[in-house]
Amino acid sequence: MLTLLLGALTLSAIYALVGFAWVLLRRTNGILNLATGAQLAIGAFIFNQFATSWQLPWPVVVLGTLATVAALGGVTHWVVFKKLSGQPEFALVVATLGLASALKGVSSLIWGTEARVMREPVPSQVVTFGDQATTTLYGLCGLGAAVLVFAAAHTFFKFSTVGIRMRAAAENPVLSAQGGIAVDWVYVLGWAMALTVAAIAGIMYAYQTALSFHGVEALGMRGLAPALIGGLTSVRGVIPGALIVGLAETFGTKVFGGSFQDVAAWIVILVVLLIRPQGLFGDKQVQRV
Amino acid sequence: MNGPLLEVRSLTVSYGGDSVAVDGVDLVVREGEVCLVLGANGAGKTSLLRGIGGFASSEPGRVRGGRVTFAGADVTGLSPRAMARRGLVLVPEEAKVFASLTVDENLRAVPMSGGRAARRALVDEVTAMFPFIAERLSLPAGQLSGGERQLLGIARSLLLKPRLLMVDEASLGLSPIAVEMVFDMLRSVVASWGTTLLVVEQNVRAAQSISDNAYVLETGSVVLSGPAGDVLGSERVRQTYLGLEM
Repeated sequence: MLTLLLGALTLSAIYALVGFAWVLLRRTNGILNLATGAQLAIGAFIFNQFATSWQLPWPVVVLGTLATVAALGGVTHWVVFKKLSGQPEFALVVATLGLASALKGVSSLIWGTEARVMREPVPSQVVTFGDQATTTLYGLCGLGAAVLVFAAAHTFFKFSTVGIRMRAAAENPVLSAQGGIAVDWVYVLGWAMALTVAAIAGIMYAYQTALSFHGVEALGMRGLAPALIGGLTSVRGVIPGALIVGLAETFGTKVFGGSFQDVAAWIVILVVLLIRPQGLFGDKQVQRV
Repeated sequence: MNGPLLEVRSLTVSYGGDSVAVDGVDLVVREGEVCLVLGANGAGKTSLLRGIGGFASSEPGRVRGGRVTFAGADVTGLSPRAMARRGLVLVPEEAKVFASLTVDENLRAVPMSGGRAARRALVDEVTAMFPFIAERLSLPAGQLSGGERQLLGIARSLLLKPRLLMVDEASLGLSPIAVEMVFDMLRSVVASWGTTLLVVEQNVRAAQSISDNAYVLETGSVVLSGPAGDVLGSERVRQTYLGLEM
């Protein structure tokens, strides 16, 4: 039982990271990014390229991955979404769908479609708490990464000038521009941060399962569930959302079998949409024209 | 008399389609003066200020024709951010502050120019002008009263060291006391900073005391302009905007 709970907790940590990527982009850039799943996978494959294919030292792997992924995020804004500014969100969402299949194509061209095993910094091992509760070392790493990302994000948005300007631009881009804020750079930063967090989630998940585009992408899409429970624009709301989805998936799989894994999150999404479409912490969106 | 700081020539603004919101407006604001734009709802006052201050690329509004010269440079169609950095700053009509940010964060979000010491000094100077700010620093700006929000909007714009401050309907939705407070503040900004003002107002009584020149807009065009005293004393304005019977 405790092992199951621990499993749910480590899974929730991954979901919290994925949910964060969804929410950040929806809130800061105003885009429901359907390429989140593909970006998780791309991030993990880039990491794998540095780590496994090139066998680089670990600090280079980490910094190289973060830099590449963040740059990819910035390019995404300048090349695609800057040109679409002013279009209805529907058009932007369709563009993210196109982006997702483009990333998938690029990935299968470069890395093929077979699942891979990533080079490990330390051998994977089982960690035992007390008498019977067990989890994996990489599960705990994922939990640590999630705590770190949320603490860093909280500090950044609350105390740093850039973070405050990002919140300002998220609330009212026109007023921000009139107040001298470089809104395009806020959007670049939004994409860069979302892709970075997505990559971290993808890597952590790949270490706990295996690296396949399909598997990691599917996790990324299920990560819409915790984001939706939180209300899509509330970073704080992602945490309870991730716990709910993590628990539902873990215990659902226990009761109904392995195939339930793929549907648990979508059932949660449907239930949330039916009962409370604005999510637990969502703002009522008031649009002024 | 000082030279023109802002010169607008046959400015035309449109929000797409064939109709225009501003239709060939000429307007001159001289350095150090307070210029008032009057007009009924839908006359094109806000569109005129937005056309001068620039539209974001995400907005439907565009400058379709004409020329805006600010401090000797052609600035027609520049982005709002570029305008703000040149010292042409707009306090908009609708949302003037970031409601979800605290008062302190609203001020910190302004990208100020100059070194650390100079920025600090400017923040101190501006907050000293608005005593309520110090008492409400950690309050979300959305919880401020209408008058305080207007004043915070003006305080935010002052941090950009504007040469020309455009204020859109400062009195809209405010109590008479708050209107007085806001116009007292604008008066002291003009007096102590020498800032040039372009003010759009429907509240003629509040605005007439500070205005040097005035323009009257109707359906996107200027129908009357001149020294504020003459324009506001004219029969047309007295009947339409002050509701006085002749």
